[in-house]
Amino acid sequence: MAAFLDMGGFAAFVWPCYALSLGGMVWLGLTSWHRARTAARQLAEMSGEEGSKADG
Amino acid sequence: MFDYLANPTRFMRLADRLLRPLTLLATGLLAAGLYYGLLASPPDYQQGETVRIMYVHVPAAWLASLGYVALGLCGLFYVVWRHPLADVALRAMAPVGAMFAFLTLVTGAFWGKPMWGAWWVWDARLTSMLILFFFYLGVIALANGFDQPERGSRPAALLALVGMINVPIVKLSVDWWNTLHQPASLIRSGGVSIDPAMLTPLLLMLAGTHCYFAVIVILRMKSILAERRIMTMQLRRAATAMPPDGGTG
Repeated sequence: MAAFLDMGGFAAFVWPCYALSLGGMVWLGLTSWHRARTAARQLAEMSGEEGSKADG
Repeated sequence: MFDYLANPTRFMRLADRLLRPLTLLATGLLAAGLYYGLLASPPDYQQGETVRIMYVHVPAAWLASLGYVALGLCGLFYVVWRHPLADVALRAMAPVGAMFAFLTLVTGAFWGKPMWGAWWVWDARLTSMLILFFFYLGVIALANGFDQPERGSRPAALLALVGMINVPIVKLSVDWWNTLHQPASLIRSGGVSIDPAMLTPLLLMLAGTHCYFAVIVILRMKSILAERRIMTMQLRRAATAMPPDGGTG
């Protein structure tokens, strides 16, 4: 396990690459998903309000 | 096909159908790529363990370049045919492509330091990739730099088109100039020059990141389309709430 983490003495170069790449991808994925969900929820609320106004 | 997808409602329906399988595919491919890249593939006889940086660096570089080709095509469709979804796709793609261009530069620097002895050199490949990153930033700035978002659409599309000239320079820079960066290993006239043990994680990571790119672009396009509809509804409400004389008293 220690040998795997050490990456042949290049741990300081290999692990930051994976951390940055995966961290960046997860961050972009979560913010995009959150934005899509918030917009969809807000749109559904507004469409519902407009629908109830039209009915009433 | 393009006419069919020009309707945002149809696009949203297709996007909803594609999102889940693409997300599952991206997750599976990336998990397999990470397993092979970090655990199952051997170190390189020259680069040692730093070869594992290639499994994140090369997919990021491909997506930065191919993402810009897609961005340029969106610009073309918007400028020439005023395709309604082209502007939405351009706005959705630019930040994703910019992130991959940034990751290409950073992971390249982390590979360059132990292999070349320098974090950065003004090499043709590195410099053209840096310029590509600046083009991405320019497109993002133009698309979002106006109070009314639609005013930024045309300048952003034009810059995306102009930046297309840099994409073949990025790809062919290693052939045109005597650079420190190694030549192409996957797409080249003599065939693939990578051992299958290293090609497997590379192809898995390439496929996974491309599916990830598609998922994020679809999610962001859905957000932009929904936000535009919200804005239209808000404007309609404001117009109906306003007194007939325009509120001037």
